[in-house]
Amino acid sequence: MTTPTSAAPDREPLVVVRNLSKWYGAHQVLHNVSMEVNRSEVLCIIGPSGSGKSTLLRCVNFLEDFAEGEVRVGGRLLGYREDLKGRRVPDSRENVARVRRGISMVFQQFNLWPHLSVLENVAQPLVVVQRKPRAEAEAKARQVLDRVGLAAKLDAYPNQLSGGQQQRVGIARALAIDPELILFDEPTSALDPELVGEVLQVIKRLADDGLTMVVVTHEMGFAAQVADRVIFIDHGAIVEQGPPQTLFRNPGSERLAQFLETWVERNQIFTDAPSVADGGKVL
Amino acid sequence: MIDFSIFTDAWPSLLSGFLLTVEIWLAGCALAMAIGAPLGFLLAAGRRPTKALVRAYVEFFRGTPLLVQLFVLYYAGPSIGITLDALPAGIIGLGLYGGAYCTEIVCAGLEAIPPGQIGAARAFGYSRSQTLRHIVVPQMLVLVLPPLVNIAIFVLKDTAILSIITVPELTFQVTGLTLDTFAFVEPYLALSVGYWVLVELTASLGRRAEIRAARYLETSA
Repeated sequence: MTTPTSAAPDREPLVVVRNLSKWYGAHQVLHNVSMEVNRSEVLCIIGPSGSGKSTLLRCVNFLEDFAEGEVRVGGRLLGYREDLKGRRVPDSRENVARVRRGISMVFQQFNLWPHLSVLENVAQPLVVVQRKPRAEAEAKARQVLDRVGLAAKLDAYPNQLSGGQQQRVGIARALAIDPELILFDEPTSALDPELVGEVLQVIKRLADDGLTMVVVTHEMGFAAQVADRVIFIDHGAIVEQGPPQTLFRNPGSERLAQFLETWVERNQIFTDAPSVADGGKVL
Repeated sequence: MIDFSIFTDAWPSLLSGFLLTVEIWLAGCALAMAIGAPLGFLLAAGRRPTKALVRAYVEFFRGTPLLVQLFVLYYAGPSIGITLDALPAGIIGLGLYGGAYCTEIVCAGLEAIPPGQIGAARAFGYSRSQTLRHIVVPQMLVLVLPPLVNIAIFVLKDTAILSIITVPELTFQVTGLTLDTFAFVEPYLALSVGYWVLVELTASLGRRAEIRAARYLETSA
């Protein structure tokens, strides 16, 4: 397995996941998953639908609980603590919020708050959670909305925007809290094909700015271009991981080769030389 | 012939009946909401045994006529140690009855907020009460206002039933007038107009509140 290239290899990983397993009833959705996210790294998680990649991402944010294993953020345990007898018990909601304070999330379905304007969607967490003065929060919101190209839409409501614009608001909301890490849960899967590009463009720019992010995606071309490291998951387990060039050109497992095959076939029509690592024409 | 002169002597008792009707109505609605809001939350998000209890309450009060509930409370109450005057019995009865409907409405309103929005609030560090106050309630209002205004109108019209347990509200007074004068057309016409005016007033206030709460939806692309 290849070690990821990291901007600061001497420092501790930002997120460490150890032996994480999760069940829905009797069905095991994550099998003993271990992974790390290094600072300034862009990590893409790929895999077939239902492979558990979104679930894994939601565990990293403790939006989902898990029965076994641990997640550490900046060295601190997330979601669970040990009680006096050393048993694993759920941590308080306040502690969970404290540990994951540096993590924000962008959702597949945007999950904007429809009763708030674009500006309020981005500024409200700063006022409500971080207790910033409203003027300061709104100034910050304007700044990040400008960064995602929505400075002209401050007073619009989410239902007045296209899907791509809504997702860019989602990204601005995630940026506004000055996160150490942004989790993207299939950020373009709910978008019309012609709107995918504008969102990927924004994410790519953030990657260039050195933001740490984990992106669950079906956009192989995007992963090939932007990721420092790609993790391939199938049936709730990590099958292989490494830099995209290695993974996409020389898949080490039969399963990944198959998975990439279907993607190449689907995109064959657009390209004469179907080299996955070239990333098609996504951006 | 229609003869409105019968009201010349009767208007003080009619006015007192009207005012009492308004008082009973407001108190009944307030009680119904005070019951419905917390129970609606429990029905939507409580633990299973709690939900079952709330469900039983709703089913009982929604499944039996208000008049029967009032009889139980007022006439049967004393034999199980609950002795109430007609007026408090009537208000409590109305409140419990309307509260069952309010519970259902609040519960449905809560369940209509997409879980993803609540998940997003959690991911951004909102506490439960912050999520409720900033995300859930403002959207819920839009959904629950129209049915709640309906319940307020039902409760208003049902105050008339309290006349049967001798509460001297408007219908009781008007019935008294008909017995004194043997005139039926004028008193009941006036009675209808009295309720109708209040209903229209409520409906128009409700519409205004609905428009206010739903301003963010108006601008749909």
